[in-house]
Amino acid sequence: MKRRLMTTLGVGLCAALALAGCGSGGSDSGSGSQTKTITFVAAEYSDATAPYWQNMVKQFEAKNPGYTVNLNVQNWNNIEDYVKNLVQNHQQPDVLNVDHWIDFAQDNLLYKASDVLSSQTMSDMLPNPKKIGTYQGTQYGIPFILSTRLMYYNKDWFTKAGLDPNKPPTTWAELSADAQKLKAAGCPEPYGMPLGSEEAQAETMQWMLGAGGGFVDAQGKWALNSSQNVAAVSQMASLVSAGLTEPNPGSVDRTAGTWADFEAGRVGMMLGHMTPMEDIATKKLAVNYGLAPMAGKDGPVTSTLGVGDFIMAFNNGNGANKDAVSKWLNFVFQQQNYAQFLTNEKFLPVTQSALTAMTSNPADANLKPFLNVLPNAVFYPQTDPAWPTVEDAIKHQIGTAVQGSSPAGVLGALQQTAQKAEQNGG
Amino acid sequence: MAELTTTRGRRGVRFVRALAPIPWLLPALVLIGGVVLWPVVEMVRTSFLRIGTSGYVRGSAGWTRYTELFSEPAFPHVLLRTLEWVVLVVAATVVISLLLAQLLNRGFPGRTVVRWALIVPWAASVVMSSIIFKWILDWSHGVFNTLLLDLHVISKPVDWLGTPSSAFWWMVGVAVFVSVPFTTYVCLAGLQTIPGDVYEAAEVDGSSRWNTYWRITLPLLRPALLVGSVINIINVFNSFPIIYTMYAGAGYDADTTTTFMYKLKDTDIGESAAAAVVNFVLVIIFVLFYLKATRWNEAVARK
Repeated sequence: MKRRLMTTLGVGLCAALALAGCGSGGSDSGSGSQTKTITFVAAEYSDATAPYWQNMVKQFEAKNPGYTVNLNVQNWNNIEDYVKNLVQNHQQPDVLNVDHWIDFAQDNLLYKASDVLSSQTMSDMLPNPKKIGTYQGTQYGIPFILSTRLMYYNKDWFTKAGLDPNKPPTTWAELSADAQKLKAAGCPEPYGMPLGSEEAQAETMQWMLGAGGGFVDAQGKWALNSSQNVAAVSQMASLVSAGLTEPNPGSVDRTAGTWADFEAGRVGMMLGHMTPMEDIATKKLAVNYGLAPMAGKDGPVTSTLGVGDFIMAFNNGNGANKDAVSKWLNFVFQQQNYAQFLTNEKFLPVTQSALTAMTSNPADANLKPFLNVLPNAVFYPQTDPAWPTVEDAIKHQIGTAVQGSSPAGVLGALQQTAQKAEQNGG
Repeated sequence: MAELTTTRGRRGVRFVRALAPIPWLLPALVLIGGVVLWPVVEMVRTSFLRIGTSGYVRGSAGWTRYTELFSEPAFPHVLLRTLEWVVLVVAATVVISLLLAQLLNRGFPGRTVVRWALIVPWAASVVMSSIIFKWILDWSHGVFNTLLLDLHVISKPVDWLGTPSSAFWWMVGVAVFVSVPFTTYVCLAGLQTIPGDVYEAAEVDGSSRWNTYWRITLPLLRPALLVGSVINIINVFNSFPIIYTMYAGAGYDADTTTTFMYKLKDTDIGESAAAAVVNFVLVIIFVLFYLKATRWNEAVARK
């Protein structure tokens, strides 16, 4: 009896200890000694992403014997929660690819870019993207891919509506008038406006840029409720109330909503980056479309929205992973490796060498219109510590501003959120 | 001396006997500790922390996450929605279940098939049912709009799930749809415990059908109804997947405290944890009420 009791107690205790053991750990080894094993958490852009990285890791490990990269490709829907969880439990990855970096830098988790990138890679990086990774003079975020936005318009619907298929609208007034004609011709969604939580901030910011506004003012201070922005969102709301968009844009997501509908020939005009173009080409869809700069308040928008995603290196174990992380990042940015990723995923480059390579690569010729507007692209205020909070607030709330709530009221509330986040340090 | 040893020995045996159940309880205790208690402790702890959007713990937040939560402009509306949601869903579920249970208690050809069919919405995952309804009701290519258009009931597609007000009613419908089977079976079980002689006596006394139902069936069903309702209240209050899956729109007008908590997580995990604590307290209140109700049931049964 007694012996059995002890055995059971022992087994239970071991189980408890094992459970407790799961909680600790992490990738940091003792300081001083260099670790050769690193973890890389990557965002999944398409079905081609995971195979690409698997292949890269294989090549890297073959060229650098003794080094190991533990690859972890995460879907965009969970990567945010996944990474937060890792960081909260002090198990941050060594290298991470997501769409924000400022909060990690603020919590002193990142290496400076110059600490982990070779001077060759550093000088290869284009100046404009470099800026969106730089906070108070120091670059932490390493821009990895860029995209720009253009207006797609369905030429067949334009013809059907009696519009010139080679003359897309350049002003808001023209856009509304064209949308009316498209509606009269039976187009189900004359202007596609995805203000659902997937990427509401992109659609919103492009409209604001068209009015000379933006999320921040010229000094970089939050200006969400500026008069230009109120005008822009009011213009969006007027399209919605005239029935020229999806009935409730606040619940329409970008990829599965507006873009999919455009590819199905249901949308007259919309904003998009390179993906719809690529989809239409690879799936051989019968959509006859044109590309143009987005219409602005008084004329075509000269500054398109630019969006950048980043790669960043975490300083784990007091610099113990620096050597391995640095080797891996420089390998990733080698021209042929990096250009392959961009060609696979149809994104725009952040390095001069990849830009040169892609300009001469016939497979990337269709990216030209998007590359052309890159020099004047305006990016999200990604260097502002409050940005991650503001971005989520916009995603959750901006849709209400075109569905009955007052644009000035909604923008005012967002401005308050931004200022509060600023005070709290992000 | 010898006597003393035996007493001590006996005491020792008694002590070991008292400990004897522990090895059998231990796995369960470890499980409860690890899966129930520890997360609760973590939840409460998180609600007092300052956590950046990076996930990095920046220090203590004191009660500020709670004051922020209660001063959220959307919070009063969310509470009201939650109340509306629970009351509407549970009330509709109970009424429909009572009718269905009455029907299933009668003998009719095909009763077994109907009883089986009723289990389906219960057996299917709630997320699955919600996704199916979401696509049925889709604005541009849902089968419901196609049907109504073909029947010329509507002239252009209606975005049923686009606005919080219309989406809310559809979600209430789906919630009732998935809650009815369980409640019906609870009521059916209750009906079958009512002895036939009570009804015979009522008939002999010349009681009308309605009177019999009102004076005999319903009071005798009360224990079953009470248990069914309280379990439903807890389930419906916690019901996350239906709203999360079916309403993708902007704003918080269709949110209950559960989905609101989830949305807060994107901007501030600490505040989200504070909302989780508030939800936890509300659920505890429901559970205490449930325990009281079942005890009260037993007391009634003993009389």
